[in-house]
Amino acid sequence: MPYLRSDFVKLYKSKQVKIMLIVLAFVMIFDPISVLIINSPQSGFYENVGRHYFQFWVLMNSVSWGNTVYMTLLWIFPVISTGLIMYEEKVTSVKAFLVSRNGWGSYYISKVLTVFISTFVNFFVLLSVNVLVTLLCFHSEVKTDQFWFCVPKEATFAYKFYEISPMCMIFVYIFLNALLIALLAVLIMTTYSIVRMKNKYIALIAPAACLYVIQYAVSWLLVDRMNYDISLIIQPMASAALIQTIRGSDVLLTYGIIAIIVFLFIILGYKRGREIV
Amino acid sequence: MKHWKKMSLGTIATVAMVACMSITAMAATADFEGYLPEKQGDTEISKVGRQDASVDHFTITISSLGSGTSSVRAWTEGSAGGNYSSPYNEASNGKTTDIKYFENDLPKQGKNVTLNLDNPVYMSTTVYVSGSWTPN
Repeated sequence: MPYLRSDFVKLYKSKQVKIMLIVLAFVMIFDPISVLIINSPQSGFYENVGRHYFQFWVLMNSVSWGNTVYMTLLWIFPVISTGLIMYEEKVTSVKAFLVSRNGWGSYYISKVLTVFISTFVNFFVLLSVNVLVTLLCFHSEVKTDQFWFCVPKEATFAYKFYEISPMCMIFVYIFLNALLIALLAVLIMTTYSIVRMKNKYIALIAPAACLYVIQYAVSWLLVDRMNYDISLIIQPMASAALIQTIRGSDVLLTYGIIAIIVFLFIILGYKRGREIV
Repeated sequence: MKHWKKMSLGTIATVAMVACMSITAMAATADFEGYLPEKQGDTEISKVGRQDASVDHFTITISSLGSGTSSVRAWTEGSAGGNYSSPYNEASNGKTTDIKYFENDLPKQGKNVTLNLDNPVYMSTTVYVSGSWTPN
C-alpha cells in the first residue's frame, strides 16, 4: 500500500477532521465533569440516584447534554471523517497524478482502508476517554433502585456482556458505535467516486442530509420492529428501556446488512472510478 | 343577636372547611396525558400546588405508555425552572413510584411544582403517555 501512510497524514491534517476531533474530545471529557459539578451540591442526589460508574455511563449516554450533541451530529460524523480527501483530489490533478503512478486499485483501496481504520480508531479512543473520565468522576459500588433501570433486560445481547462485566458491555457499545460510524464513513467516501458533486459544500451537506433522511425513514418503517433500528441498537439504554428485545441475532443482521451495502458501494465506487480514470 | 353571631361563625367555619377540603382535593393528585417528544427534551406535562412541605418525595403512576419504552424519566421543577429533583430517575409503566426531592431544596407548601417527563432513549417518534401524580 504505497499511499496508506500519506493518506493517514492527509486525513489528520484535514481541517474538518481536526475540528470534529477537538469538539468531540471536549464533549467526551466535559460531559461527565459537568454532570458531577451540577449535581454534587444537591444533597441526597447520590444517595437517591447512586454514583456507580456503569449507571452514570448509561445515564449520560441517554439523557445528558453530551449525548444530545453526539446523537444529533451522529450522521454528520461519517461525512466529516472522510476529510473530503477523495473529493478534493478528484477535483484537482492530484488523483490523476497518483493513479498514474501506482494504479487506480492501489489508490482506491488505500483510501477505503485509511477512512475505515482512522474513523474506527478515532471514535473508539474518544468514547473510551469518556468512559475513563466517567470512571474518575463516579466510582461508588453502591447499587440503588435506580441502578437497576440501567441494567439491560435479560434476553438482550447486552445482558450477556453485562453478566461478564459491566465494563465489557460498555466496550461492546463503544465498538458498535465506532464500527457503525467507520462503515458509514467508507460508504460516504465511495459516493464521492460514484456521484459527481458540484462543490465542496454540496459534498459535505448532501451525503449528511441523505443519511438523516434515510435514518428518519428507517425509524418510521421500523416503528414496530425497533430491535432492528440501528439508531436504537447503538444506545445502551435501549437494551434496558425498550419494550422490544434487542437480541444478538438482531445486531448481527442489522450490521450485516449495513456491511453488505457498504461492500456493494465499495465495488460500485471502484468500477465507476476506474471508468472515469 | 347571639343567634346571628353563632350562625355567621358556623357559616364561616363551614366555608373555611369546604375551601380547605377542595384545595386538598385539588392538590392531592392530578391526571396527566400527553406525548413525549421525538429525540429528547423536557415535556412539562402537569403543574400542581405542593400540599405538605414535610414529605420528601413526589409520587407518580404511569398508567399508559405508547409503543417504545417500558419506562419514562420523571422529575420536577419550580416556576423559575430550577429542578426540585434529579432528572436521572425513572418510573415504570403500570407502576406507582416515589421519587425523592433534593434534600436541601424541598418545594414549600403552596408552591407550584411542574412534572417533567422524558424518553430514556433517543427516538425518532413521539410516545404517548398518561397517568397521575402528586407532588405531596
